[in-house]
Amino acid sequence: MAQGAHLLLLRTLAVTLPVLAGGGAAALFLQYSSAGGLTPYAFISAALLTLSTAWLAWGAALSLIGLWPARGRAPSTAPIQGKTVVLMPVCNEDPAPTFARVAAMIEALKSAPAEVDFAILSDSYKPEAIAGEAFWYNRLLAETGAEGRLFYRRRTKNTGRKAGNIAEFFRKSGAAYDYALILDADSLMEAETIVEMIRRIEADPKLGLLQTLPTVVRAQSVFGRAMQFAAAFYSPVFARGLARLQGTAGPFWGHNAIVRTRAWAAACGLPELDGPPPFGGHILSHDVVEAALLARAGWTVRLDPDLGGSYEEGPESLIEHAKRDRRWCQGNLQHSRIVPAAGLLGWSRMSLVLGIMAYVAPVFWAGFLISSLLDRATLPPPDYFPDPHQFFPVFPSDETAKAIGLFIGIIGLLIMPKLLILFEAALTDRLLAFGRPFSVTVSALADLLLSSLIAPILMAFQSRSVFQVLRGADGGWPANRRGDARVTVMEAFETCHFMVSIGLVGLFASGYFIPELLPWLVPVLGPMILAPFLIAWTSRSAKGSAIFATPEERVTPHILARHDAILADWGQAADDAANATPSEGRGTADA
Amino acid sequence: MTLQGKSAIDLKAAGTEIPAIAAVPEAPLAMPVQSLDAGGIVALLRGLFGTAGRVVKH
Repeated sequence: MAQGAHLLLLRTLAVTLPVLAGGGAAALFLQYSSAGGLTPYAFISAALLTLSTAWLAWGAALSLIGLWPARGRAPSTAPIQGKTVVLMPVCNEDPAPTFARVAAMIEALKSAPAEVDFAILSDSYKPEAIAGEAFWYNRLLAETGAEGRLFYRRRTKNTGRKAGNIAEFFRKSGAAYDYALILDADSLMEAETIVEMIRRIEADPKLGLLQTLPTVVRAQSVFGRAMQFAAAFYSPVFARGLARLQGTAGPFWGHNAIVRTRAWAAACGLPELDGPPPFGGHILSHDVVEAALLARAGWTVRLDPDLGGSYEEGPESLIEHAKRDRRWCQGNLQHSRIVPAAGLLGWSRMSLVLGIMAYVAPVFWAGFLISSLLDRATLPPPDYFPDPHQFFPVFPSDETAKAIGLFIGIIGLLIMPKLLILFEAALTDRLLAFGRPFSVTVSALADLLLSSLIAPILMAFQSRSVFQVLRGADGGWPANRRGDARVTVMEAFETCHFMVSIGLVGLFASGYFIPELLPWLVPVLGPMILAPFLIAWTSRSAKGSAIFATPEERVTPHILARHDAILADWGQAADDAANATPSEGRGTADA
Repeated sequence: MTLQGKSAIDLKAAGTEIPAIAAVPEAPLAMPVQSLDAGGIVALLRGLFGTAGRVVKH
């Protein structure tokens, strides 16, 4: 089958499944509701259920399309002609681990068959961070002897944040390089991966950007390790599905990707949107837009999930996750301004819409729950004798089976992809890299349980984020906290008391007005009421447990081991530099 | 170039000033600002509904 027809078939399948699932769910819901009489709330619920179910089905479709293994690309040994720069944007990061990452990659690339420079692009503004970066730059330079290959530049005004930081480098130095590998402050990549990426982009003159699938590493808390396991175990299949649908308009996730400098410079100069934040101003979630602009200019943007050796770190607690989500939510909702931009490819527009949907879908679920409750609460009592002269009563038809069918269908859409991926991992031996089959099965079940427990909490956080953005509140760009993120119950309560209140009010109101629905609501309201305890408990350390083990925990990748060794080697110096390094407010402006 | 066995580096030698050799290469590349104006039918609809004034500021 021709590649174009194959792509069209896959995309049709990916879109048809959500349409059918959403339509089917709405039909079942309306049939169930019609038993007691249809209220306006029933139609609102049906509309919201259509969209919510379609979103779930989209995820299921991605997993189905990604299930079968990809044909491996033959590694190339062709000599590399082009010159590459590795860009590491930082903003008030803890400099020692950040510079140790650069040190590890410089060391790993020492004998690589490629000319690779490094540039640390600082947007730091805290004096202690600036002093720390200077200290560690000098230390790094002295140890590596990489004069002329290791650069450091700090902007005094961080216009455009990370995107502006990188753009400033391209405008000043872009012509010195053929390719730029864009990293984040917490990124690490194996030398073999970097060289292979250079070879792949050099081999395809139409390729403007090549994205890897970063593996989350170094998580220690219950939450962090659960997310890390889920990302390592499930994401490769979802990413493969996405890659099969992308055509020439693949994704860019902002880091751990290589770009062709001339393509990037020609196509990715971001404008500032008119009006104030949150919808105007600098484009916050710039990566999706940059991918769309490259594709619009005729360049291929590609995700190669087979590229291993690409690492990043993730949030260690639900609160850190929610903070990051708040930024992404604002950035993705801002994309509503960009969806209609002239000349974008259809799939790029689709990607922008899907990004918006990721944050709007939880609001749809919350809206569905509320309108369904209102529907039940406002139903008139059944009229058993609609005709005053009738002798026998007319009982409403029992449509409970349809409600149960609907419930099973939705739960199936949630669980089915993960079960299929578990089977895929078992059949392809991928599972063994995660540990013994029993441990991995327990990890998968624990992930299902934990994700079910925290789903209502995430729904509450995301819904609040959407409403904050819609009412014009600019979330700014609070820094990430990396590393230890232990949260106490009181700290958690300060962050989530709004959902505890909503949960309690919902519980008492539904118990009073519609007690028959209470068992259906407890799985949603219960975690919201217990959120402070769940957030605190999941921030506890779970280091070393066989549950949620990942291949990178079981066998430390070379580049991570070297990073650790260098940091340990720098231990004394790190203590000496402690006064010059920040201990709070660390984080990228953008990751 | 190896980093191993370098812990004896004299920290006093490593100052907190950024040396001139840290400067990124001078090799400018034009990076024109792209337009994200809505096109075609959307621009027409915006015109019809009175929101055509929303433009991208370069």
